[in-house]
Amino acid sequence: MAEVDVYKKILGRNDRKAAENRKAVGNALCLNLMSSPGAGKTTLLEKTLMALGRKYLIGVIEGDMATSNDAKRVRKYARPGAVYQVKTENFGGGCHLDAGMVSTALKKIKAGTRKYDAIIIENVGNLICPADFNLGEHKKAVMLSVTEGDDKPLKYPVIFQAADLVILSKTDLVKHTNFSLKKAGGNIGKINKRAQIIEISSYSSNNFKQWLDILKTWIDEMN
Amino acid sequence: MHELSIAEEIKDIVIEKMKERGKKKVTRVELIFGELTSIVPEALELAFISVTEGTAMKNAKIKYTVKKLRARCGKCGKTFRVKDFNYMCRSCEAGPAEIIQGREMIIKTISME
Repeated sequence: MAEVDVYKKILGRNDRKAAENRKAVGNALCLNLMSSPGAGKTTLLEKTLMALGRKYLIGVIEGDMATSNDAKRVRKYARPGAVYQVKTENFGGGCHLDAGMVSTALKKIKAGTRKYDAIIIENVGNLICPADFNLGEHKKAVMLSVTEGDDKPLKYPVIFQAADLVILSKTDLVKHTNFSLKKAGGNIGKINKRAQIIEISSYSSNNFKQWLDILKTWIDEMN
Repeated sequence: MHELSIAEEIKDIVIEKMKERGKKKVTRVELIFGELTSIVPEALELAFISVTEGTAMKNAKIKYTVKKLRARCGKCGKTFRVKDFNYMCRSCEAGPAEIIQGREMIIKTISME
């Protein structure tokens, strides 16, 4: 019997595919948008496309275990052919997107030939698994809604630690909850001093401009 | 939750290494996981059993080492163990510190015959 030293990264294949995805998007900003189910990712994308979709060519890759519901929602506001739904049930039913799935999606929205300004990946609703899988993104944004609990960053530190931006969402509902925006910000700061933190409501458009300005800045930085 | 995906990746890598060396059977796979990965060892063992059923890796054992989360302070350069996901440097209380250990997911050795 032989014991062979291998020292090989288990997710090396995913990381290599992620590097290919990074090349495939060219100068487009690639953003990995993550949150638990129901934090407001799809509504954020709808409102973003309504506000910026004329000026910027924004592609959207939707990730869910099943259904194309989210893709159907955002397609109403996106340019034709710029939205693709990944159903992880077709890949064994995973709880996250991986770089291979995103690679397929990038081809479907013709990322190689269309001059996208941004490609936003709405990951599967999950605060644990998406953190481990590099998709080739330039930036990671994590949404946390005020209906979830201000201690969630401490409970799910890995994903919050990786975030470039934390979006505290549904702030129009905060008065109906015991969520403290100040405590949530403090908890995020304990594990991630690097991340910007913004407080928005997609529905009431409260502070929505702050999110749009960040997105536009990131898009401009790519050129 | 994604231990099945990880187990599949391990299986694919191990099979590739077996073919390279002309081996027929795997008895043990030694892994290194960082504390920051979301791997649950017991779940990975179950997933591994599932994905290797009917393959040359059937009955192979998994042995794993967990690497503790460590960081290096960007201000004073000192390295420290990160506890409770507190990335503040205990020496100079500056932050953020850079993670230097704890994110690994590696196949260290494969025992084959």
